[in-house]
Amino acid sequence: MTPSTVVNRRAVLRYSAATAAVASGFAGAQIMANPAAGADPRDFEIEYRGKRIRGVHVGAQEIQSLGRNRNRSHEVFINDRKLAVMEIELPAAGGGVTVGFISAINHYEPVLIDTGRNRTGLLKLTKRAVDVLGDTELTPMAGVAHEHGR
Amino acid sequence: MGIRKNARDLTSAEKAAFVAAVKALKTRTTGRNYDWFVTTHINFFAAVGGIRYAHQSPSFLPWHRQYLIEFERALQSVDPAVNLPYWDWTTDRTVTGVPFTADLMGGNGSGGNGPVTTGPFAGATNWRINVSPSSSTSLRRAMGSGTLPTTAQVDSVLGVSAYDAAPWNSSATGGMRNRMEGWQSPNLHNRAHVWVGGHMGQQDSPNDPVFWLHHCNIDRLWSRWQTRWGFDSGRYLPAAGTSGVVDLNEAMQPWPGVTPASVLDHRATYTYA
Repeated sequence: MTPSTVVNRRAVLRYSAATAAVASGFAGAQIMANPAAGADPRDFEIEYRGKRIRGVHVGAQEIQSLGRNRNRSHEVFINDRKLAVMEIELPAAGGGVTVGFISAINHYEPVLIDTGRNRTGLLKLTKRAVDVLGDTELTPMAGVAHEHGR
Repeated sequence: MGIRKNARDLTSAEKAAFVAAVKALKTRTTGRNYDWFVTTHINFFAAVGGIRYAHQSPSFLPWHRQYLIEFERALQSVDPAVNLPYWDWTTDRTVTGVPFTADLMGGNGSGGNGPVTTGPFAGATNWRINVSPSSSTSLRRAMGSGTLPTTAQVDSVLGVSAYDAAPWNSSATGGMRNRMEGWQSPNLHNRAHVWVGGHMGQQDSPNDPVFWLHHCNIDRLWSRWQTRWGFDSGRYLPAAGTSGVVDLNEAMQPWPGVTPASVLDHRATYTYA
């Protein structure tokens, strides 16, 4: 199963009335790290380069309020080990401010938040982390959230 | 007073002395050993007590200046003749050239993102990674991601006369600091971290000893900016009354007696060759 197929299937599942029944056959799909976030078609749970990666987005309304309230953030797991993602304010192309993500593994190269046509920021950041990890795994230090750029 | 040289100008004896001092610091089990420096950078990369000291803030440059001074002092407690060298990536731009030679930093990681296999820091027996968000116990590099900054880009950053500007974070566009740190184009500091890759791209980047050579170069570039625009206290911003960041005369943790003002003029402590 290709990653894109899985993502599409996840999207379908999320919008299906029979989600629970269908999802029971999909390994780990019921295990949502952040159930309150609700259904978000950008969430993913796929295999990538031999690692199981899972991403849970906070709701769109919460994203808009991140500038004021950053108690919650998107969540990423690689082989069930948490990778904390931190928001960082960046100069936006054309002026103003945009929000990117960094993590303990990708600390100097932010990935832009999902806005407009860019819907895969969290997946991109997670894949980059897997690329860096190679045959190693995250340690508990990678799961510790901290603040940047407020 | 120490003189910090370009890594390409070190003699064989100076390279060997630097490497030996770094490795001696790693083997210390207490006090300000090598891993204390790694942990301190991890702790201060983020905001501490609501204040951003080391990154995404005006004190990025003075905090790292003091951090380098502390590390250099620790090296000198091993060998008083050792000074930090710098890596000028506008001239040394290859994965096999200075400083990535077998007699200094060693080379690239195996297979693109694997362990470093050459030089004095190759393998967990020679150089063990103890504090990290990834489980590798040996130093890793994945060199060549993106491009290193150019001389023209350095010149453009050094030509910005304002030190920094509101909102004093990673989205500030009105000053030199964020261009130097790299959340704003042309991005000098962040880009070299990403180019080296492996541990250098992570939160625990000081685990790669080339961290010190890179940051020594960043400090040198700030010194060049100061030579052009002034070493005086008027060339650090903000001056006072700004929450969440370190004003000119506020302490930079974890060094309670050190302020941006106290490190602006470094010329009595060290100079650059």
